[in-house]
Amino acid sequence: MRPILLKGHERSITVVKYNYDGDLLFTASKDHTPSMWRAENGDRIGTFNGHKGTIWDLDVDRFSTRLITASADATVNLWNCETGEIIHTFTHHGPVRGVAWSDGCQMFATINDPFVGHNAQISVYDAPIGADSFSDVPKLEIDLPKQSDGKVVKPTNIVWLNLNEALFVTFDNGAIRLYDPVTGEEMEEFFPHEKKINRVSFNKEKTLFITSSADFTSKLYDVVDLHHLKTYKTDRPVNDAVISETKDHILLGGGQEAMSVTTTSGKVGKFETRFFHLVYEEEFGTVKGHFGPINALAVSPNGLSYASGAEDGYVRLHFFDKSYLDMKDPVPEDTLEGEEESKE
Amino acid sequence: MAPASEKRWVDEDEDDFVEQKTSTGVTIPPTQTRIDQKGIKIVTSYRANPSNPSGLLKTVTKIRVNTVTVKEHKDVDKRRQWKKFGQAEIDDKEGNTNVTIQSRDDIFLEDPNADTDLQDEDVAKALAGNLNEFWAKQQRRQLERKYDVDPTGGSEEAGDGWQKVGDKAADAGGKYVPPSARGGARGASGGLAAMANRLGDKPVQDNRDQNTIRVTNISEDTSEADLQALFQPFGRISRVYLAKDKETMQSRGFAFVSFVHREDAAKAMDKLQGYGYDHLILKLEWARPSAPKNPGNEGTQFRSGYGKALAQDTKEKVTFASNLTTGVTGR
Repeated sequence: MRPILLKGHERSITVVKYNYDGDLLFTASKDHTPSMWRAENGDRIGTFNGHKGTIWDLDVDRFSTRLITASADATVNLWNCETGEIIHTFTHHGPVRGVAWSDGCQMFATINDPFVGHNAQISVYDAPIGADSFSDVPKLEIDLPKQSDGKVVKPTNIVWLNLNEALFVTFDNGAIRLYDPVTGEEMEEFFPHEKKINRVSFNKEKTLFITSSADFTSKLYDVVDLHHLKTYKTDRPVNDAVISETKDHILLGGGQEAMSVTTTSGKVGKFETRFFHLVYEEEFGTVKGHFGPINALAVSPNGLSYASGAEDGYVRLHFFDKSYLDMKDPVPEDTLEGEEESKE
Repeated sequence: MAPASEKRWVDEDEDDFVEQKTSTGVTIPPTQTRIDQKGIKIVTSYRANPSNPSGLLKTVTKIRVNTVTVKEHKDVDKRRQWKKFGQAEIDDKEGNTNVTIQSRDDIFLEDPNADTDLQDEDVAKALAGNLNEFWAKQQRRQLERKYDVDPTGGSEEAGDGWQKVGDKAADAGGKYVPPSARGGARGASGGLAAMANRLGDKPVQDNRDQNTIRVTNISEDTSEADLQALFQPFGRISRVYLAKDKETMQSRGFAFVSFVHREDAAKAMDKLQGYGYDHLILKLEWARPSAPKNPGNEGTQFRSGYGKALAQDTKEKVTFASNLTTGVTGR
């Protein structure tokens, strides 16, 4: 495959996302302007100018009309996708790490880091479809105070579960918590990882989710009973992992941390996208190309292409070869042979 | 084949057809296009026949038209009409087109489990190489113990002698003795040690050699990926190595393909022997076991870089060096 390089950003990519129909691709980076691209040919449609800080996260609504972006300048902007104009700016108390539209797109939730006198916070804002005026006061605020041992926990991702039953929040200490989006009560807490959870992504139906963690693993969970299903082991911190929409495959992206990149050669940098089989946990392919660790991955809803964004500031849009699309899933070899191989 | 919807420059006259005549006055009938029931487009065109002035040349071109229907939401089509904004709009006005670039490199989904040990820069490989050497040493020691070869008088001494060859050489006129010459000396000197050495080498040897096919007469344009594709149907391939010129990076026309299972390799051998591939006929044979990587043994005998193809003048050097060592070990 010959990927399309999207050189629209000047700094490292933080997030790459397809819209629901898969015709648009949204990217954000540490420069201050998120971009919107045509997923079919990589044409840039527009840039969203207005933030003054790193964009940590973005989310586009189900109908691809409104975009929300979370920025380190402590604001969340609501944009008109078609024109690139700001509809409203929601001010926060600290750098905003994540945003998520609810099911139905009538409200959205944000998470922000602790800042000076303020704790980390989860906020839920009303943003009904077709509304002209918005309230700056969130309809729900969940304070995330310091833990009993004095440690500050920072939220890293937020997602709404199906039917807005719960807010699903990941933390930098490896925890995942579920909150009631009406009362703000903590419903559940569990620790899939011991280190930071960099990102979490769901399949389209939101029945499975996959975490990517700095502890070199990605874990697949069942959403309904929060049951641990699979673990994908790598030899590097995992920055993003996504579940393919059409195949039983997992795409993993990572690389060593940004601070150690300059001291390692590109060859051993392990900046590839790695393909794992969802069930067998077996790695069967890698795709090279980036010069830095991959920070963000997204698979097109039609399963024909995927995009990766990396620390090097490039987004690469890959269209799968026919050989991949026709590929039958590998049958695992019997363990005896595997043992023999490992001995060699 | 060009997509049917795309108008090619050769078809340009089709619409505004003006009656044409050849130099001899024969009217050229207009080009006819029809699509038959199988979806194949048939274009019939005529032109003057240069060898027969009163006749015409008729050209019938058949084009298979592949129509791919994609279902999409009507909103998607609406979004296609969206105007550009922000930096994209500015770029559009200025004609700045370097934002979206089609990569020229072809990138593949690579198999991470494939053997990549022919890239010397690979750190993991270097490590594996060290380990192999380590195991070789271990094996040798075990054999020495088993066959009661005195390591102090045998191999270790040879190792010692090695050093001294260099020293002696330095004494004897300060001439540099190439490692191969030293090794040859070593092989010639300690008979037992050399035997143990050879015995020791065997178990370490990769059984991969037995599953490897040497493919020759490959065209220069063939890449490793092509070979991979060619041999894949026969079974699991553990590595494909295409010999390339060190400087020009051009294919040297032969390659090694290793299979995980020998049966698969045999199958491939059977099927692809004499297979016409890219204008050449492939020749397949079992690869000979590669020379042990022990420095100074047989490893570096060919130093012209062309293998046995060029005449080698190592013999003289070997005798020269062996003379030296007899002096050393005979002390």
